[in-house]
Amino acid sequence: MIAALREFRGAGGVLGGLVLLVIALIAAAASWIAPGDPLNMVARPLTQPFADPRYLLGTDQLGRNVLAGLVHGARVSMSVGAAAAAAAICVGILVGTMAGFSGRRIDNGLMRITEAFQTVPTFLLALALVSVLGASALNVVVAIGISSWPPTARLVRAEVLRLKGADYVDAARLAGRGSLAIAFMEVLPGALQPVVALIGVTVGEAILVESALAFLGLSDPNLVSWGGMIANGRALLRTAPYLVVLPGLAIAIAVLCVTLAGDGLANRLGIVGRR
Amino acid sequence: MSKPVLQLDDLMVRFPGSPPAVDGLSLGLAPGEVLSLVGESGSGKSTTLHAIAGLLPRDAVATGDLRLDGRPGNLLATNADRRGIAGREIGMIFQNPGASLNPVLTIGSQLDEIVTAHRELRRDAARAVTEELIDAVGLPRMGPQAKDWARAFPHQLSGGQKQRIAIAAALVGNPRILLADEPTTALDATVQAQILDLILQLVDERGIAVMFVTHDLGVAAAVGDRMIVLKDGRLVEEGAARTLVRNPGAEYTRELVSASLPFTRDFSVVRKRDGVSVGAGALKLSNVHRRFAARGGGRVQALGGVTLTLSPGEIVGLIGESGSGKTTLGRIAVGLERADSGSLTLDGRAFQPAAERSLVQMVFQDPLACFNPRQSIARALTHPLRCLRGMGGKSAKQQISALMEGVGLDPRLGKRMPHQLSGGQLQRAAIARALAAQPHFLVCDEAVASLDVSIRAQVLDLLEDLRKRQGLGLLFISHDLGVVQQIADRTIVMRNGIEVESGPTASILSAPREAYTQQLLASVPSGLHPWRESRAGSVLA
Repeated sequence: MIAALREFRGAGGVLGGLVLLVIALIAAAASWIAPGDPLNMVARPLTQPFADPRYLLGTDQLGRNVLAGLVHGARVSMSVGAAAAAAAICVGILVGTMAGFSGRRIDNGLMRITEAFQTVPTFLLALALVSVLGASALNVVVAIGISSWPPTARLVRAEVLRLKGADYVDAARLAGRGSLAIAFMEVLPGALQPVVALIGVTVGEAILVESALAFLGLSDPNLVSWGGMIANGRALLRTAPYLVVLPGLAIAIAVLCVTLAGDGLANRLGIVGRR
Repeated sequence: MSKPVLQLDDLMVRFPGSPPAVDGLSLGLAPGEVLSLVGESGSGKSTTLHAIAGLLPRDAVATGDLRLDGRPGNLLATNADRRGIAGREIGMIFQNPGASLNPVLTIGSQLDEIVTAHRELRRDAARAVTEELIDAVGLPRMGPQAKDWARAFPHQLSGGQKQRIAIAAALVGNPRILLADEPTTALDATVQAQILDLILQLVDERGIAVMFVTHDLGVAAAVGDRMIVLKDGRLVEEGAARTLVRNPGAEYTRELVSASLPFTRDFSVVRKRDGVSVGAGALKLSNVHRRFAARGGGRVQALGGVTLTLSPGEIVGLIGESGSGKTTLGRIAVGLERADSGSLTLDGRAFQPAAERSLVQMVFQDPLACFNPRQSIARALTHPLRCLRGMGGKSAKQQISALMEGVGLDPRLGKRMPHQLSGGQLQRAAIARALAAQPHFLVCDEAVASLDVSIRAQVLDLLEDLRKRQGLGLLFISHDLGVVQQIADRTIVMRNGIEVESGPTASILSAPREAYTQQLLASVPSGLHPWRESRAGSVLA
C-alpha cells in the first residue's frame, strides 16, 4: 500500500510534468491552433459543445469560440503565473539572503517587513495593488510578485542562517572574499535546494490569484483569461454550464500539474520525501 | 580460553558496487573479555560490529557464521531468528550518545520505555529499575554530586554523562555482550578515562564481554585484553593487546604503532628536532577577554585574560579540554572572532587580523566541512590568490599548481570536487589554501584530529617542513597530548578561559607544576602502562 503510494508519487511528478508540458506547448502554439482574436464573435451564440465540429467546445453568449478562449487563456494564465512566481522567488531570495547573512539589525528590519506583508492575505494585497496600479498584465505580475514573496524569503533566510556558520564560510572569509561574494556565491547556492520545493506551490498559487483577479474583472481586458471566462459564463450557469466548467477545469488541471511537477522535481533532487 | 560467548567465522560483508567491506573475518569473544578492534577508516571495524548487532543497512549483504553461546543456529543465516538478541544478549553504545536520546523527553522516561520493553514491567514499576541503572553507571542520586538524573533532559547533560546514560540503556536487558563503537572518541581525555573506567568496571562486576572498536591504538591497548588489527576488511594481526603494541609482528601493525604517537612521559623517545630558529616579528595577543551570550540570557566567559606570543618559526601547542577557550583564542588570532578587550600586536605595532587577512591563516579541524561542496579544489584555491594577492588568470593557475605540489598533491586533483578527495588529501588542500595567502602565521585548530594515524603523520611532517622552509609560526590547538608532545616547541595549558601554565613542551608535559596539568596527563590512556591493573582499585568513587 505504502509502496504503491510511493510509486504513485514518482509517477505523479512525471504525469504532472508531461501534462504541464502539453499545456505549455498549447499556450505557445495558441495562434496556430486557434488563429485570430479569440475575443471575436465567430458563430451563433451559445452553440453547445460538440454540436459544430468547427467550434468543438461551443461558443459563449456573444458567439466567441470557447476552445480558442481556453487556448489563448492558457497563454495568459501560464505566462502571468510563471512571471509572477519568478518575481516573487527572486525578491524572496534577495530579501532572505540579506536578512540571513547581515547582522541582527538588518535581519530584524527585513523580517518585520516580511511579517507586515504576511499579515495581509496574499489575495487581498494583490487585489488592492491591481486596483491602485490599474488592470494590465504587467501590473498583475507586479501585484502577485509583491504579495507572494514572503514564504520564499523566510525559507531562504532559515537556510542561510544554517549555512553561514559553516567552516567553509569562515574559510572564504579568511581567503579575503567580500561579504556580498560570500553571501551570494558561497552561501546562497547551498540554500537554494529547498527553494525548488517551493517553486511548484508558488507558481500554482500565482495562477490561482491571477484567475481570481480576472474573475473579478481586474485583469487586462484585452486578453482572454480563464478566470475572466468563468466570470463571463457565471450568469448562464444554469443554461450553459460548460462556459464555467471548462475554464474551471483548465485552472484546476493546470494548478494540479504545476504542484505535482514541483513536488516531483523536489523529490528527484532528494530535497523532500527521502526517508 | 573458556567457551566463547560469541563465535564469528568467515564474515563477509558487501555493499553494492564496492569491494567487500569485511572479507573473511573470524573472531571469538570469551565471557568477561575485552576485545579491541583497531584499524583506520574503511578497515571494516564498525561494519563488523553492525553485522553482529544486525544493524547493517538493508542493501548490505552479510554472509558467515555467527553463533552465540546458548542460542541455536547461525544468526547471519537468512531468516535467522534474531528475536531477543539486540538489547538482551547484545547491548551497543555509539560514538555520539546524544544522537540516540530524544531531546524533548527526560532521561528517565526514555529509559523507562526500554525497561518496559525488555523486562516486561509496567511503566510505574520501571522507574525503580531505571534509577538503579542510572546509579550503576556512576550518576548517583545520593552523595556530593547528587541530582535527580531521571528528570533531567538530554541537553542538561555533558557528553560524558550522556554516554553514561547510553551505557545504562545498553545494560537494561542484562546483555552478555557489549558492542562499543568508538564510545570515547568525542570525549575529552579526562572524561574518556572515566568512561573507560566504567566500562571496565562492568566487565569486572558483571562479567560482560566487550568488543571495543577504536582507531586509537593507545585506548585499544589500554582497555583491551586481546586486540585485532584490521585493514581493508581483513584481519592483519591478533594477539594479547599490550604485547601486540609493544612487539608488533605484522608490518602494518608496526606502521600503526609508530604513527600513533602515544603520549609518554619519557621524553627521550620523542623524536629530536633540529635547533629551532625563532625569527623576529612576533604575533602577540595580550590580556584577551571574550564573553558570549549564554543560553537563557546570561553571559559566559570564554576567555578571561589570556596572553600569548607566537614567533615566526615556532610551534606553540595549545591544549585544554572542550570549553577551555582554546578555539576562541585561535579564532581571535585570525580575526574570525573579535576580542572584547585586550590587544593584538604584530612586530610591536597594533594589528587587526580582519584588515590584514594574509598574515594569519587557519587550518580547520574537519577538512570536508571547510571546502564549499559546490566548488572544485582549484576554485577554492583561487579565492585567496585573487582577493589577497590580486592574482588572476594564468599566473593564478600556475600558482595553484605550485601550491598543490608544495603540499604533496597532484595538481590534476584541482579539478575534483571536495567529496571526491580523501580526508588526508583534503587537509593538504586546506593547508595549500592557507599558504596561498603567504601568511607568516598559521593557526591549526585540531587540524589532525579527524585524520587516520598514517595520514596524520604525513600532515604533521608537512607542517614541520613548512615551518623549517618558510619560517612559519604555528599555533597548534589540540586535545591530543601525544601529538602536541611531538610537534610543539612550547606548550600552553588552558582551562576555563585562562592559562593554567606554559613553558617548553618537554618541561610542561614531563614535569607539570599545576595540579590540573597533572590530572590531564594522568587521564591519557597509555598502552605502554598497565592501565587496567593500576586502575583496578580506582573505580569511580
